[in-house]
Amino acid sequence: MPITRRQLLVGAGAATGVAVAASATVLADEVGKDPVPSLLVDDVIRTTCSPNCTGSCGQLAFVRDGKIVKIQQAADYPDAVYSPRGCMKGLSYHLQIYGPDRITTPLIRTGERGSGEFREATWEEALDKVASELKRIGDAYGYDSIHVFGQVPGSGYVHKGANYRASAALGMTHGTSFDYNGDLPMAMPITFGVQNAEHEAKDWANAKFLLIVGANPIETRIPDAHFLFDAAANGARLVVVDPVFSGTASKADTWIRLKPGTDAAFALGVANVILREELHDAEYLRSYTDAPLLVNETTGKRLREADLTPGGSAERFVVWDEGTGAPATVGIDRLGMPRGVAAALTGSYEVTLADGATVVARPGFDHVRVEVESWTPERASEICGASADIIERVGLAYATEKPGAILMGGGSNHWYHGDLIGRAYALLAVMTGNVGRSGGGFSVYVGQYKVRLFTQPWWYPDEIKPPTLSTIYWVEGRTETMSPLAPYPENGFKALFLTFSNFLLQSPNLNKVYERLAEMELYVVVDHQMTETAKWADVVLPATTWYEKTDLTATPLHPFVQLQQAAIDPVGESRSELDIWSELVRRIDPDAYAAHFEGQTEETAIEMMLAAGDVPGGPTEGMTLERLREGPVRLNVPDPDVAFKAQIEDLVPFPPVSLPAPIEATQVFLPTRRIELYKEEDRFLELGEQVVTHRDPFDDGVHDPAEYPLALLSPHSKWRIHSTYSNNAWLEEIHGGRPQVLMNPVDAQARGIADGDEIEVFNSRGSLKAWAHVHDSAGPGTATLPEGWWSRYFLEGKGVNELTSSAINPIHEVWYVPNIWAPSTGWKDCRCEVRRV
Amino acid sequence: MSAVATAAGTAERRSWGPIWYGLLTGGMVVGLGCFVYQWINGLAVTGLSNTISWGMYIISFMFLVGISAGGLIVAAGAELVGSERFRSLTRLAVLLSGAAILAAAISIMPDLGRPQMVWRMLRQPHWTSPLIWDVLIITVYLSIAAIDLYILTRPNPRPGAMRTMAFIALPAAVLVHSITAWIFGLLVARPFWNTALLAPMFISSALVSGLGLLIVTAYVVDRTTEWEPERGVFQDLARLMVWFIAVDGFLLFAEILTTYASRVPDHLKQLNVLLTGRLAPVFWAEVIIGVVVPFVICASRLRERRGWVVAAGVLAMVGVFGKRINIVMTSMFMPLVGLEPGIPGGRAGQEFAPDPIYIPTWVEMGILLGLACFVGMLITLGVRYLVAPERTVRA
Amino acid sequence: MSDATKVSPIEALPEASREYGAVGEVSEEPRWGMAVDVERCIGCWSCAVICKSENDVPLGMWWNRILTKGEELDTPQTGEFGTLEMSWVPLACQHCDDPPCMKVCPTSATYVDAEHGHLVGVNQDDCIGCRYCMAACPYGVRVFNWGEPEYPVEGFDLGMVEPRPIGSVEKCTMCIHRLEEGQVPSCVWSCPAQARIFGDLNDPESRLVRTIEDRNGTQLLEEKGTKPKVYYLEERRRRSL
Repeated sequence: MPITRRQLLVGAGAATGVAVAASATVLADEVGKDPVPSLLVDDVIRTTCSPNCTGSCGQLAFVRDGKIVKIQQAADYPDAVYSPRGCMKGLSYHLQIYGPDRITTPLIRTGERGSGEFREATWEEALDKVASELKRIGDAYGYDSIHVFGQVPGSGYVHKGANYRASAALGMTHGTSFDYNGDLPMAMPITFGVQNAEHEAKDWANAKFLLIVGANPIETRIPDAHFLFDAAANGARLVVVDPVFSGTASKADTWIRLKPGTDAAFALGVANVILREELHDAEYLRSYTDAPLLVNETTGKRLREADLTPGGSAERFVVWDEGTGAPATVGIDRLGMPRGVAAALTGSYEVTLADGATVVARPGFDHVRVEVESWTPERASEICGASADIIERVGLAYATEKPGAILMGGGSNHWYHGDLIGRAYALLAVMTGNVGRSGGGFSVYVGQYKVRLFTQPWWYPDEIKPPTLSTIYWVEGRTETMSPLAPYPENGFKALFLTFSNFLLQSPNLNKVYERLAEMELYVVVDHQMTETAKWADVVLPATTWYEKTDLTATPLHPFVQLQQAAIDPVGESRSELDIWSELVRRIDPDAYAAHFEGQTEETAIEMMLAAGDVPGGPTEGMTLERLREGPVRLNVPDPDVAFKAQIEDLVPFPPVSLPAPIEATQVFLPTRRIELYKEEDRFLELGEQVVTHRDPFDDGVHDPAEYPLALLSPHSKWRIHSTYSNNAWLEEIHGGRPQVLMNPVDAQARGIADGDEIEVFNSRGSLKAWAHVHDSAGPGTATLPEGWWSRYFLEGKGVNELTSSAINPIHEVWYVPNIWAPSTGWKDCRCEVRRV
Repeated sequence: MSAVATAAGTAERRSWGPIWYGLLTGGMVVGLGCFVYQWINGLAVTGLSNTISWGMYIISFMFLVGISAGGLIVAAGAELVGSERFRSLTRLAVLLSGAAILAAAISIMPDLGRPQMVWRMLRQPHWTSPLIWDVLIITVYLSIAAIDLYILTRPNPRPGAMRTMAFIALPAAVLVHSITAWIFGLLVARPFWNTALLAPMFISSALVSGLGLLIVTAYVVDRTTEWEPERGVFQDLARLMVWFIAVDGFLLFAEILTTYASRVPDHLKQLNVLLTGRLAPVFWAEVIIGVVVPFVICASRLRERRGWVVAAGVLAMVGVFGKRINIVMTSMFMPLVGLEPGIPGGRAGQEFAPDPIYIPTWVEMGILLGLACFVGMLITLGVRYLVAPERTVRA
Repeated sequence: MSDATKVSPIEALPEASREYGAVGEVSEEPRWGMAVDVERCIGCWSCAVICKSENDVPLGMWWNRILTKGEELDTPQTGEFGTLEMSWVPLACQHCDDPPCMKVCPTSATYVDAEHGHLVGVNQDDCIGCRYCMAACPYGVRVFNWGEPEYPVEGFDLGMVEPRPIGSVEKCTMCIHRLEEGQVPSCVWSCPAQARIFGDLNDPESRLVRTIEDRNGTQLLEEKGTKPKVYYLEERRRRSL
């Protein structure tokens, strides 16, 4: 070796010395650094997040070099209690705008349907193809054989409205989403004659007692959840009713575990307590409801003046005046009772008819009384699983801690007999006089369905309305009990045109839906992401998101109208629904195009709709596009916006209008023009549902509980808005990306299933494979799998909706007004069995 | 010495010498290659994560610091006490210390996310950081080892020079281990480390492992070169080992007993990871293989046989390595804020880790191999040129 | 758009939005702090997501995360009396007044910024990636760039701050880049449950201090002596039926 050891040692020593010296001679820089302000942007644009969650939250898009680099809430609500709104999903939406699943060009199928084999095409080619096919089918079978279905997300009144406008122009059948989604709370039209009527969210803070049933606002109404805490801070009591210990249950003062689908029994037990303790508001019942109106015992129909007196009115009803001991009549032009009449609410009376015969008649409320009295807390407890003791306590508290608000969600509504469940809760609200007052009410929060301004000029050009058929009929076909008003096309359906819908994942009874799909000669999907629904399409047309177009939006949760505004150019070659339909209609029917689409833009559409309501007392009085560009503008509604205020305060007859239906269409629901606790239509009588009662879940009759012992619940997960955000990378990091079926340890152990095991969930309609999550928070006898997971996340199967039911309740077919009185899907009414894989 | 024997010995050395050097060099190349790979791709190529943010590199750093002490303390201690028995080992002991501490200093480099910035530690050292103290004391310690070696290899060593050095060396050795312990022991965030006993435990473990290394190396050098220790020195070392293991074992026992008796839930949870949980196999292996067996060997008549003593030395070193694993891993497994879902993993696709595992990757093992070979190379070269060069073969 | 015409995202905010997020009056030498209301936290992770968005935090890393007081993420635990319970605790850098991370950093890359509210900052230029600060932080809030950072979009940078280099540590900065322009940190802005309050701990009249006092706000791991500037407001009494 060339180096001597002496040199080696000396060298090492020297090096060490230098190092020590160097570290000793500190030339430390200044520690830290000056803060650097935010990186610059091109602009900040305000739009409204619109994925179908009812949040309708204002968002700011921060744009740099033409790309959205951040989304953050606008927090600019004139009513500061509403700010900031928004949630983790909306804040991460740009991941989807630019994500790998974004569709950027029109696609035309090259392989078999569902193979996912497409080729990119120009818009010209794609539009020509779709238009020619639509025309061919329209000419061959009638344009009503084309089913146009626009789901809620992505759009507002303009672009969803384009679906309506085009359907009207060409005569295509427009489908329905509110009832198809199961969100139509049939109890509302049945009881109150309206599509739905909720209190605005800030009114929750005015309640002294909040009964939250089948709802999980902490997870599904994130921007509004804080109003519950505001209420609690004001001394309100929060009671949550849910088979599962949910996020909302964790915030409750009391959580009541209920067996799924048994809310009617529970509510009737509560009503029993209220009635027994005489805590109900008899005057309220007299003034606003059909409680005192006499019902003919023999026929089950209400008595009318015409029955008692020749030449009497068929629109005046009869009460028993306890003061005079004789019948008195009541008109429908105003609520209340005639002065001096002490109308009976209970009892049995002999009434002489016009032809001299006497009949026994009882007030409608007497029928309710009989039913309610049969539901002792003990009996209710046996059915619903809540203890008789807690039912007592709820009854006493709800009736005395006023105002009391009932908030109902999909967990209680999504049942075949969801109308009975809702009617039972509505009964509680009505009995205690909580309807129509701030801090009270019976509010059902489920869908972003609400038409809050006059959309008719845009949706129905020249007052032409498209045939509008509940989409459940596309799945089920005609039913025997279908209302004659429902426009089922003569030749059935031959084409399906979807906008912003994950139809092949989020429809009930998926396997049946796929069978129906095979019958379609044309299947077109307009969407912004390649979902399984898009994968099966013949033609896929790329759509713009709410960051790439202008639209007008509103929601039931708050009374602000907002704009969507484009922050960036459309990504790739995507286009808006209005653009797409304009081009299609132009190719199919140039005259219709000239009449209804030529020259129409997002702005003209908006101004058209605003102008229609800009009349004294109209919903958009004083609202202009310019004002909307600056921020949210309040609708012309009371503050706080409380349901049925005019009815309760000013005795205006029920029902208020349910846009966009004309009042004539919905008035028929309430022949008495009062809140109806008793329904006299034939089908109610046939089925024994004239007053609210409890019925066991419908699927118990389809799937024998002995064979399928578990109730399959598919609630909404906080990580998705239905299936939107299923593929969001940030959110997946948090929740792990594995669909889990929540089961109770008792059920799991009986099946040899441990936490994390791979399991199969199945019934006669379908099956899937996923993972088990075994925990006490699940109710015994239940399996909970949140809906919305894209199929690719499962081990096998398309998703939870392979198992759900598309059954139609004939009660929902007594009348037909699309989205307002129509079959409402019962997603939670579903039985299954689970086994280890 | 007959010429034949010399020739035979030389021939023996020559035959597997190149293989040995070849293996060491190969190992170092592998290590360097892995280091470069890691430098380019980042520490993502290791098994580390945000929860278990320190792993094999820190463990081997602790271990290398540990084994560097034993030798020097034995040598310095012998000097100070005036003992002649270990004289023959002094040079070897000092060499081992120097080599190990140099390797320890280098072993920190692969653990850095931005090794190219390490000079900033010298430009703007933050004096409250135990890492800076460690840099200082390691530098001092390395200097002492170098100076000692220089003194020892001079043909006419000044009398008393080593003794003077011993006065500096012994406290320096104690400080090296204490400061290294204080890197961990002063952190309130890690209750398992935050004990006054940590520094004494580091010192006692260092003595055990350092002595083990000395025993093993002395044996190997004796067998492969003409260097020879004094007769009976292995037994003496074994007797020393008994004391070292006893103290080390006692400190361990005291620590466990105190934690166990305190019933503080957080501390108990961490302790149970060791006693019955994920690290139980390593812990009980450490206790049995690293404490009980060597103790028995060295305390019994087995120590009269060199082979057994060497075995004890190896086992003791393995045991101390296990202890390093336990020390680092126990605290890393149990962050103080232990709520679900835990700490985010750190890389794309790596979700939150409520129950993190750490499996060292081939990159880490490659670098460790490189370090081991580096130490081996230093020792081999040192033995070749400083401890047992041809001209200083003892008669 | 050319760089010359770019603007500050704070200046470009619509008026009403800017008012919403304004920090308001502060004392001469503010000490920036925060209160998190556990009663109102609904575990939605909006604050965590906006932090990730605002600061261009790479995939696999979170500066802010929402811990579940339960058995697993969003899964309740059984309480003392056999009932189910669950709540959420958002956790990010506590910006301690006596930060253990700063003390152990060998290059002073981690420092207390006395001129900017006594926030604990990290200068990635000085960071050697030794991860000593990560071992020293009792809250586990620091994350490390183990590899080249990865992002969910390609071709452009997200967020409002520069990305950090591979091999460096990063953590919540209390959005100091926003504080510079008088706006609250993004997590405070974006909490839909209105569960976060930001302000000056040195101002006894501030809403922050008054609320901490009214609600008996506590600190995490108070006994460790790190003096965090983040306070947690516990749930008030419940009234079961």
